Amino acid sequence: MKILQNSEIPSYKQIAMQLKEEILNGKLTAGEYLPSIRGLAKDLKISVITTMKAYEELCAEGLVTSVQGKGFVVNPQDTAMIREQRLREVEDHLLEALEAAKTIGMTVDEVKDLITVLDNAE
Amino acid sequence: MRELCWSLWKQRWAFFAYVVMVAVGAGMIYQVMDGYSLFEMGYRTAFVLLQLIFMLLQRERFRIILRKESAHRFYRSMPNARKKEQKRFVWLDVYCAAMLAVLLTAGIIFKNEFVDGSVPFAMVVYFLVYVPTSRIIACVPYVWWMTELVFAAVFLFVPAFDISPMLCVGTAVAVGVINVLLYRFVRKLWDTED
Amino acid sequence: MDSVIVAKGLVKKYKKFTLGPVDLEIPKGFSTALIGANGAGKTTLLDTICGIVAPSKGEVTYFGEITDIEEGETKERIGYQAAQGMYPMSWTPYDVAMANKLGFTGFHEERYWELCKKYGVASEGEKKQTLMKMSDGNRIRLCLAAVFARDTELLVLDEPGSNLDPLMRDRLCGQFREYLEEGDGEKTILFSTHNIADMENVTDYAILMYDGAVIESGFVNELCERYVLVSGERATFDKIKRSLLVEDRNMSTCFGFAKAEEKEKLEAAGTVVETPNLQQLCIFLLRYAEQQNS
Repeated sequence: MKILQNSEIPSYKQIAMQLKEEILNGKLTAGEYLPSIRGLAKDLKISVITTMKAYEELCAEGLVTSVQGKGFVVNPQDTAMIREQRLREVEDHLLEALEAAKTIGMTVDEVKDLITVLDNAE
Repeated sequence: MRELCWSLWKQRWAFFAYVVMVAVGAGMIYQVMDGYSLFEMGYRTAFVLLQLIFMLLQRERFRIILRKESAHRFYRSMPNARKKEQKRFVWLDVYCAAMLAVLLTAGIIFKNEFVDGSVPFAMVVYFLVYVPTSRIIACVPYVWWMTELVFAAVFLFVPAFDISPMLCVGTAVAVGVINVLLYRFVRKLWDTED
Repeated sequence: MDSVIVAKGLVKKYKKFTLGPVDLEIPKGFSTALIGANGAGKTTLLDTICGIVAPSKGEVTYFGEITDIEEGETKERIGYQAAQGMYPMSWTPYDVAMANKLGFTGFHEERYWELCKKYGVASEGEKKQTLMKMSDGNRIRLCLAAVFARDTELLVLDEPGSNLDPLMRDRLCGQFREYLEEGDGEKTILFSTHNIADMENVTDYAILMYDGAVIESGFVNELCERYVLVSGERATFDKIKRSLLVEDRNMSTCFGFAKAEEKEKLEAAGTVVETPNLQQLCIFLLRYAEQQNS
């Protein structure tokens, strides 16, 4: 796990985001336990309450479940739902790009071309 | 000189204790002069001086305890501190009684010989037994310097007198009673102070 | 959430200072910081909780059931560490080991010497160097080595971070986290500090004290969210004066501190608001307490 200590994004968000990513791309599979909150706090040199908050956030999103006395276990993920979620993310970003394009008078076709160019460059 | 005076003033209670010690020593020397040889007098004076040097070496401990900054926080953070403390007091009483018994025996055996045998014997016991254990006793504030004085007085005075067994038993009982009273006094202080 | 310590109506009276009445709970399995200025009563509170001094009034419940700290081995489970004067100055590291062995069954001598070496304060069996000859920082390190060498469930440390250099303070924070991880929710730390910035990333729960009273307490994230920092133009500050608890007025920009409930009102007035971090919260809350007092 990576953590930027001077980042504007709070530590707990960084942890939650990375774990979420690992769960969604299948690195952490259903039934696996997340590292213990106090162990992770020690490794990341942050307070226990910070890791706890990150885990609680994942709980609220339904990605993990708290098991009394055992820690946090990864829930089985619905692949269709993950796809849906990702699609929404793509939509959001494209909308943002379109908004920006409009402010400098780019047409939709020009944006499409730009996407093709960018894809080729990659 | 001014620095010396200042340091003495800062440690005035310790200084007071030294004065008491010197008075005790002087009393003893007076006893010695009243019928003992010059050699014996020198011997006993050396003992008093040794005692004083030892006290001076311990002055840091004096200072701390008199300023109530000793180990009492540590001591009170222990479980069953009171029980341990009581045990230590019992041990002190036993120690006092044993010391007196030793002095008595030595006094009887070596009496009228060239050197009163109880003095060197007491010194050996004092430095071998009391000094190392005083570190533990130092856990208990107030008590350390009181016992130091009591022991010193006992060691210095007893050989100088023509002691009777009854007096020894009486002193042992008195020391025991003083210790119990001291214990109650210290306990009361702890319960109300700080 | 379980509490390792629950204090109710705790009062300790001195001639010149009175603590409390204090009501507080220390959550089990976390690190709690007791924050306040010098003379706020942090030491008195810790001493009263640990049975170093007897309370004048009130009661404390330990580990959920014990109400008398002298009962059984309760003190064995608590690792108390005073800010200063824990051991006589004439003692050496060896004496400290012996005294702890005498006083506590859960003291591990090998662990003590290991920690002494790790902290760079003394080599094994050091009998020569007395505490008198050590620096303030080294004395604290030695005391910490002694307390971490014991098997405890609750650490109560008075100002453990002061007088330590940044490197050692970082090591201390690491030691805290290790202790909490070892306990896996069963071991708790309570420490006092007047400089929270140094210890912020080992603080889960905070208790703020001012003039012998607890003025605020809670888990750090919840606690910070109860308040907001405000910034805005001088002219707008005249309008929102009533909503602010504390304010700093300068020529160009003004700063303020308010309860989170006021957030919408403050934003509507044209100021910007944000959630404070623990250090900012402490400073403003203590200033507010001072303001109320004068």
